[in-house]
Amino acid sequence: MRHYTVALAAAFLALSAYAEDPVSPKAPEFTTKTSGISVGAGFGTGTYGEQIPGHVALELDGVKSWDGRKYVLTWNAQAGATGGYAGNQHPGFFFAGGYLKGNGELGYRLTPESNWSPYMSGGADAAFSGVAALGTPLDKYDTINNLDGLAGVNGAFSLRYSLGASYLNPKHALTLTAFVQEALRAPGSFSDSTLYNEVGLHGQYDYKNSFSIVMEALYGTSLLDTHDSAFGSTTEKERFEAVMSVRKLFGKGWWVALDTKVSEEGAKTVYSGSPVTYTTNGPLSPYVGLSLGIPIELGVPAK
Amino acid sequence: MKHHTKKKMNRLELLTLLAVCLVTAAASAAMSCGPSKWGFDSIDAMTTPADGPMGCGAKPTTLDSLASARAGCAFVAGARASDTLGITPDVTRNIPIRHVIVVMKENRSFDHLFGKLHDQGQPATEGTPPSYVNLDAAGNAVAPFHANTTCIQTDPTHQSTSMLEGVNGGKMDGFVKSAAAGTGTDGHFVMSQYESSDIPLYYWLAKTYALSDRHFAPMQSGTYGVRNFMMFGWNAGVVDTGISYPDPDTNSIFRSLMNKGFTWGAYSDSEPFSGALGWTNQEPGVHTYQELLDSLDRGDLPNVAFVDADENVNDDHPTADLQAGEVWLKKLYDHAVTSPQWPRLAILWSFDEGGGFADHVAPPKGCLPTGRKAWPYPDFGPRVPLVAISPWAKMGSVSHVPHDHTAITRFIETIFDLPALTVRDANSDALFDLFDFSCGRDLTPPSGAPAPGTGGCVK
Repeated sequence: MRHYTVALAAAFLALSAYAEDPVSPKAPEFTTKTSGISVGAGFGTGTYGEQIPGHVALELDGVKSWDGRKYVLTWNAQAGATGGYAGNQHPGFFFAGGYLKGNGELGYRLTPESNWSPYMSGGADAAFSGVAALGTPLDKYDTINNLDGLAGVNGAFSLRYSLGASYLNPKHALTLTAFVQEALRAPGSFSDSTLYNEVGLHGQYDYKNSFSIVMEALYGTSLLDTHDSAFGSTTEKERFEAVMSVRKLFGKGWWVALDTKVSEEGAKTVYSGSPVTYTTNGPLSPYVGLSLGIPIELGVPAK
Repeated sequence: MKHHTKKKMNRLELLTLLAVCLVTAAASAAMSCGPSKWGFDSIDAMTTPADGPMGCGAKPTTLDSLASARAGCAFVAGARASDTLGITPDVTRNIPIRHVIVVMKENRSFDHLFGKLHDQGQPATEGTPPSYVNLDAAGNAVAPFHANTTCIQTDPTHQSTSMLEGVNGGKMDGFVKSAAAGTGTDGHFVMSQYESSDIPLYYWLAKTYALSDRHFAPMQSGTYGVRNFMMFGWNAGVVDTGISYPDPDTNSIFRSLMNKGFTWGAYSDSEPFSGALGWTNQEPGVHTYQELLDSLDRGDLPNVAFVDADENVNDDHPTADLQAGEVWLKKLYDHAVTSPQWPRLAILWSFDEGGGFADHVAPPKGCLPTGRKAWPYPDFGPRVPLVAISPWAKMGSVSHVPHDHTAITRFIETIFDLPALTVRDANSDALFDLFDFSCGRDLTPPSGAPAPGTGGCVK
């Protein structure tokens, strides 16, 4: 992680100096924001089988530029409750819990006076959830069905560095970037937390207080192979994920959002002295969710 | 102009939303959420190693000075039988077994099937005490009674919550209430028991070969979790049936065998391992029941064969007819005793869990399998029958040594010198209390196996 950080910080500072233009007139800024209560439900599958989750959450989302379009901040934060039904066979089980998640990205536009500009950014993403199967004793909730990011205590944290292009005017904001990130992902199915090196493509378009779409695909492999001395085994993990989120904002700050995601995890394990290499994949796990955003005073968009 | 731009944007938004919906629907349809890939593709190309000369005379139980260490859960994953059981490679070489068939049926407790065995052919077995009762919801004492059908049409609830209720902290008095709450009946049927006239083949096998009357399910829950103990040495993160499957990258007995060049096969006309792994019949290593019988006839069994009957037909899971289950097992037995591999064969016939049927013996504690927070209750589940069918079985014997399904795992690990998968199987015995490897034994199968029972299924 350190080599990414040092290299990109140096590049950031160098390009900042290069792009400094104190005599340029300040360009008009772009701002779009929503805040409110998000209520939604979805359907997905995974190791745990089929999942029908719902959520109620406080959500803050937005994009904002400043200093003559030189800097762009993108954020999303959610804190809420989730609950639903899951299982490979039916009847399955009902689950409930809470979650916190958020991401932020600070971008720098190298030619802020132009609508199109080279763009670089750094960001962080964090997620934490505590979910239990209903009926689970409180002191046991982290021990039962702690699977695949669905139930139990799960978390993830990642740092991201991006390079690409930005289009920005007072009504439209578009970023197209390639990124590298390092992500610590909490255990699924009782495996140890894994630090991944990931690369991907990201695109986000926002039409001021009206519409946004985010698309992203990433692929990663474990930063360090896992060695198990008891078995003489070495495991390399990999994961793939693609997400797309579309959000339509209405007057007075209401919104409707459609979120889709597909992911898959795999591993390659070799054992000392064994001629067999085990290449495994978990199930391809798609998810689709629909939510309604109810504005709160904080989030009434400025028209 | 501004208005016109806005209108165009609305169209763009609608088109985008439409595209997203179409892409999502197409992706969902195309992905079809395929099953996990377990990486066992090479098993079908592997050749079972030659058995080598047949040894005999191994006396592993006399070398077992490590029982107290095992009871204290002293051993960890990776431990060999030489570490935990005092079974050296020299001893292992004198164990004649080179092929193991694990027959795991479904959902019957020991008392439910063999509570009457003490009075009907095997007095060394602990019978159900006359004082054993469960109270029903109305407070009436329900004593064991003779089942009036071999095809019980109600499936008692038997996942973790129900099992914990039934066991009730070791009182073993909550089965009726749990079944009543889960099935909408009075729950009395879980106190039913069978007799030798109902299931004559099962009774004959239990009293003729080596029976354990202290074999327990490895946890208090249903099929998926308990079966995982046999394959992975722990529940692999799975507690209740129908919720989740193990991570396919989990260390398993399949991998341990393959890593040492030994072979395995899963034989089923239904779902292998009763669905615990989410495998279909297309999975590498999976074969039909007929292929097992053919393999027995030819004498080319893999080193370990895991065999499962058809779900709810002859696997003994309610609503299946137990007498149909006898027909299924009799066919396997007949092919086994006439197989050229009979002298090198051990069939371990058991039931995955008690299925919610009552049993009077409080399960002891086992070792927590892993350092992780997989399943917080170390206690075994209710007793289930386990019979070792082999020319090397201690004929007509009953073992009272407590163990769970990881003893099956440990038996395989010991025979083939494989590492323990978890703390649970590392500290398990290896079922050698059911075997006698003395030289000079008559390996001829016992005569007198009865025909399966008939006419017991009254609906």
